[in-house]
Amino acid sequence: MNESTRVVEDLDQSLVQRVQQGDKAAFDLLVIKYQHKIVHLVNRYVKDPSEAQDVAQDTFIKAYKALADFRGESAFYTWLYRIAINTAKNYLLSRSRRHSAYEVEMEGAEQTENAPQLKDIETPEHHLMNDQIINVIKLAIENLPEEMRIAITLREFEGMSYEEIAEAMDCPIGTVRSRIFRAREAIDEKLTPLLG
Amino acid sequence: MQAQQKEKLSLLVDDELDAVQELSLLKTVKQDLKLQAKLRRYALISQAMKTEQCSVASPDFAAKIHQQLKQEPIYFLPRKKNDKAFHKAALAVAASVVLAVVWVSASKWQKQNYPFESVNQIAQRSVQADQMNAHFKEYLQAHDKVWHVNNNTGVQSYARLASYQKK
Repeated sequence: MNESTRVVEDLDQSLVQRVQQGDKAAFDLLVIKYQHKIVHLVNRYVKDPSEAQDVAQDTFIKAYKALADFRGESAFYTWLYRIAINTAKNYLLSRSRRHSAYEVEMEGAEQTENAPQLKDIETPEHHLMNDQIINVIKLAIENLPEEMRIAITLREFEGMSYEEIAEAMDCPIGTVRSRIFRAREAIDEKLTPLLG
Repeated sequence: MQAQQKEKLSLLVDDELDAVQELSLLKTVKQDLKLQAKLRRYALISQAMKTEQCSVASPDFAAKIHQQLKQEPIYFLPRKKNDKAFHKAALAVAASVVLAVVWVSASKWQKQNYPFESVNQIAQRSVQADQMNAHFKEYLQAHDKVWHVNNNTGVQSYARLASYQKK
């Protein structure tokens, strides 16, 4: 059986099964795929970027340890998403109540979403960097050729699929792929000097 | 870095790759730092446009997790058996066992409640014996000139007939 036939339609499920059978390298691929989404998600709760990175790492380690019990009843990312939110909330609670050993249970954490003690403080440096990046990206989008700007805007702002964009722009789906890719490349060109 | 690979990274960010291409690309990205950096910036652009929040994983994020996981034990699960075949075989074995148990129990029950042969069986065998006896008597009479009296209690079982012929 070659590699491609072994891949089932749901790649995540296939990778999860490989990890469950002892293939640690398969988990690396899940990390590469979801690392940015998880850091971004955690950062909504833990504003300090360095702490958010640690909490996100903790999320993946917890997921790995719990993966033996994952039965695929929900999508892997949905499951990971819940772990990330609960890990972030537990982190904030344990930090704010450092002198007590209290920690909310995973399910209990869901009820504390709007608790005032969970509001973290964003660092000024991070805020400034964030603003600079946003400005560069906005400027880059304004300077894009119209068809590229429309394609990337429909994708990112409106959340449309490639198929829907192709229909809206009355062009083949391959053209949509190309336009979105070229738009990202143009924005990346402006962004790279800032990120160093 | 090839343009084709970069375009695939763009598709990966949008979750528009099929499973085979996605697996192949993730394996390539794992080994290629430049592709990792490119993926990181594409993800940043996407998130910044959606939420105006710029937060992505640090360049060494995956490597740190990989290092931490080296110390973790490997979690094995028993391999799933071929469910349909396994269930069919299990069902067949279970049915055989049940049938065997029922047969043995029924035999035991019958012996306990009816320790003797049925009336029909005894009657049938008796008829056969009578027929055989009749044949046997005929034979003896024909060949030995001996009376064979069967089951006549109190009577001499054999009686030789004597005749006196007048000369």
